[in-house]
Amino acid sequence: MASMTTRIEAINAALLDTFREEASDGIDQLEARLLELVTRRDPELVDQMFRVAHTIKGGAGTFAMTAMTRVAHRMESVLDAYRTGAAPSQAAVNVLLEGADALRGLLAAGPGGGAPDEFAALESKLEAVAQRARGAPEPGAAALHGERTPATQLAIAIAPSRELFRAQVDPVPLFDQLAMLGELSVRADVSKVPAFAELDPTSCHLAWQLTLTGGPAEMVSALFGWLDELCAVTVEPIAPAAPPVATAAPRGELAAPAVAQVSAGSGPPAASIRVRLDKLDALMNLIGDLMTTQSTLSALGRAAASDPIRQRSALDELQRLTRSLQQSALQLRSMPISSVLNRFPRLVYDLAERLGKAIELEVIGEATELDRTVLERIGDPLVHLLRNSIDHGIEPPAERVAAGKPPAGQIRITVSARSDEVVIEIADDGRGLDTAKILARARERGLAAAARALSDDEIHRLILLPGFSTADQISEISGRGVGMDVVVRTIQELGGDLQLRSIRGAGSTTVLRLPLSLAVMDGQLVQFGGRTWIVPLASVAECTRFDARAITELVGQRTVIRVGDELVPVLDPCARLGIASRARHNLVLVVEANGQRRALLVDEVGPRHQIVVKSLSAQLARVDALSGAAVLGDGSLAFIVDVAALCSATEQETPRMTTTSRR
Amino acid sequence: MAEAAELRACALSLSGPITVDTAPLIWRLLAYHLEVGATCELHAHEVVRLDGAGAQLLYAFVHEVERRGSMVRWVSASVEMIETARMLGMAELLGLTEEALAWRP
Repeated sequence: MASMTTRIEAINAALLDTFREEASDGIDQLEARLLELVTRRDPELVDQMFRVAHTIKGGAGTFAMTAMTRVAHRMESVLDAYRTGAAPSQAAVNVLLEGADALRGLLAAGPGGGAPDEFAALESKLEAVAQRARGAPEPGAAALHGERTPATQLAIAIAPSRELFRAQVDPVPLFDQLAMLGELSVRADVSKVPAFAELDPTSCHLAWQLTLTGGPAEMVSALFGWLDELCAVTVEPIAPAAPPVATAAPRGELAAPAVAQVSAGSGPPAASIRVRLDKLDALMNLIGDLMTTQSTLSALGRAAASDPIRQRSALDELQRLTRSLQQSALQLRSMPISSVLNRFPRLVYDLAERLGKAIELEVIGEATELDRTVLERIGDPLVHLLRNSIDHGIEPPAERVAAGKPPAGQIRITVSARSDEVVIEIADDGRGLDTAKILARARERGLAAAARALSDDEIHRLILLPGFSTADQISEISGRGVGMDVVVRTIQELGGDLQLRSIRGAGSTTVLRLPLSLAVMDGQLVQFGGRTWIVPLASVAECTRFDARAITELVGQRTVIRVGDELVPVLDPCARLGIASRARHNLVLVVEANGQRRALLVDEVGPRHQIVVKSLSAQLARVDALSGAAVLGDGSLAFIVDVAALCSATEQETPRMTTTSRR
Repeated sequence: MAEAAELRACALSLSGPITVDTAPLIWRLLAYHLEVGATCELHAHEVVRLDGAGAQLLYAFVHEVERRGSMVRWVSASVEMIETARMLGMAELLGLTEEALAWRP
């Protein structure tokens, strides 16, 4: 009995996970269609949204998510009214967007979360919108629809598995949902119900044939879609309706609350990602080839006479397959950045509404894939950069027109993959950075020395410092100066890089460079302090022989070295990391991060390797000049240098050289 | 949990929920009533909830009574019970006739 209970709970939890994923996608679709509706009056959009709301309502009802069922029902009523009438006004769209937000919150709360009448005020608003939609057309609205096509009839055959009732799934709420789509007749097939004495009352022996007049087949399929494992459902159109055997009148109220009860202790869903089938197929093929090669090597090993050529060939093949397997596995972890960017249209819409601005958002390259770990952390920094663009960058329409610009501001987000990194650019055609104001504010706060002349780039970078803001007023949207430094820190922790470009009056562009994968990277092996270290290859600009004559000590300031035509600040990594130096610097490795370059003094430069990055322990993670570790081919451990942390070392931290010469 | 089905001079009162959770207990009670025999009058106006499992159980019981040459007479039924049986396409199979529908508290 205990194992049966456990199994039922497992089935329940799996069903809830499936519903959560599909409802989350549905809510995203709902939101995207609503935003499209603002600029494109298309009756198909309303139909699509109605179907989504209906499916969400059905699923929520099954899991006793009463508040979610109610909100979805109200939204469905609004959309149903607009299916046959005028197009929704902007006010109606805004209320529906509120509804989408409520659904999202309730979905996250799960069964048992949210009091049934928690959103009573929102429900009233939705009901008011629905009533207006059913009445006179809203001002400015245009009719979308002509004659609706005659409803089709569908024959629905439902053949549940024995487990249906034990999985706490009752067909009644689902039949209720179908009854709301049109006229429903239900015939129960009791032919497989055993004699009373043999009956297990928790086992399902019933099946049903239904006839639905009026609902589209895809909506019916969607209603049952998440019950794939418990129910075989077929939906087929039929010609003229046969007279119903038994007619079930549609209920006037919402369906009774759930029949599938999920225990309160079901806990948060397990982390999961969606993986394309072609990636999985490629991985399976590689594994098959690997097993074949492994068999070949085993056979060669057992053979009496050795065949070095065949052995060498098999080993080479093994190496190739292992590398390909690794790539495949990395690709499994990758997901398109659209999963992060798809909330931006809504963000832009809401903020533009609130600020009285007109903004057009363009996203290019949303199919570009990044490692899942990078995706999970890049969302908030991108949101912050976008909010800054909207709040500080894009001017109000009147100001833009006075400046000779179109009234609607343009924000473009471009994502592109280049070898082992992804580049994300957020560009706007707004005011651009006010370098004079930035410098003045920085000097006020002691963040920039009054006497020191700074380039435009250096001034722009001042806004990345903690607490910096030139905003005269703190808005709810931005202006506290709490954000850009966090953005920079997050990007650095991801092994990435941030650069700013701005032209006063024309706009600003923020460029983020991020590694495609955090799990594997190309590293440059170097030697200093008697150990081997790894410098991320993406950070290495060049390597040159150390020449003491090229060192210049700027009195009272930094020690620099001439590399080509450039003076680059020198960094002794041994001093920075607090390890003994052999003081035998033969080479200079010029590294770059966040637009800053440093000349690392190293003893030797080794080969380049693709390495698997290992996280540091909690104690070592506190060393800010280290970002990870890797096991080398000889089994030894090498630490990965955090180039961004080294480059952001303050002037005071930059050590002086013990031997110098003046030019 | 379902409240107990009382045996009352060839009449059986059903009350509370008749669902997958209570079906095993109700099955045992109905099985006991089958052993007693006689025409069965069912009073179901206090049934607060019926689901597919409950409807299946009642069908199996009704069918067994008829197989034994007797019959089931529904004296009363709650609105919830009637509507659910209809929604499941089982009202006629259970014998929930107009007479039963006419008697509602």
